[in-house]
Amino acid sequence: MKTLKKIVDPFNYYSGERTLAVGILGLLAAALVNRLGGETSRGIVSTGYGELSFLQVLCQILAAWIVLSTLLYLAARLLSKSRIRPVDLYGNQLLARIALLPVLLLGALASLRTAALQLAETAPEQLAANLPIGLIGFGFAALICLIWFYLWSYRGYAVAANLKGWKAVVSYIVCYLLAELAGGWCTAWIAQW
Amino acid sequence: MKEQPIAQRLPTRCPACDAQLFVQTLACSRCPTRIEGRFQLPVFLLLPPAEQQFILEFVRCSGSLKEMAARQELSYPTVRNRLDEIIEHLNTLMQHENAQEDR
Repeated sequence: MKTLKKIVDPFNYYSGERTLAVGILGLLAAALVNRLGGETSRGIVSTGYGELSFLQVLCQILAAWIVLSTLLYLAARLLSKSRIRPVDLYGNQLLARIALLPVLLLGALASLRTAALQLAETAPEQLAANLPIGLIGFGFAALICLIWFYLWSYRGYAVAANLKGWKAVVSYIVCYLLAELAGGWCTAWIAQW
Repeated sequence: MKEQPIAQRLPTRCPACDAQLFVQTLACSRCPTRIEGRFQLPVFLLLPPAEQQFILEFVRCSGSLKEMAARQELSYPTVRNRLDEIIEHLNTLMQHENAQEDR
């Protein structure tokens, strides 16, 4: 029961240096998968295909993490009465990104990559008839991982900032939307190096 | 079969109207002396048992949230959030007590 609780909401049990250390391992793994699979980041969670160097894909993931975490940290400083340790917030957000790793792994599979690229060239009216089963499965898996990421990311923020209710939900959504804009710009800029 | 003694909790609210209770009689544990009056319960005793236990543990950890988190197998922010909740609760109780004294 406790193991399940730790999986669903790990931030009640782990924080700070521990989540940061595990998160860094996840970040390096994600950068490696992106590099080998020819994937690039396009914002906080979006990915696409493109040939970038290891340093570029690593910087893209770093930018996505730092932009969201910094906005959440500023919101936490503004709204929370508690003393917030930056290491908790940044560490929790980095750990939450591990939830995206399965999507990156699946996306890196060569067959899926080919199908996705072919699909991008298919006319919208022919899309329904030509949708491969594997890609539908990938879409489903990606949806689950995205929900998992949002759940962890939100909980990581709420626990580290000691925020509850609408204050936590609204501030998270606002920060996330701003981070998507800033993160999209940052990742596009890094891709042009 | 020997009956286990029941650890009785100190009631702090009236079961009929939910008002705060006070101590009316104090009795000596050795002789039959009794003192009657109207004594307020200390703020610490007005907290729920779980919060009292938390404060005791916190003092035993020399006020270190890190050690407390390690002992309870919880994360640092979770323990800090719990402490902040108790501080808020204590502030409310003390404000309530001060307001009663002013009346």
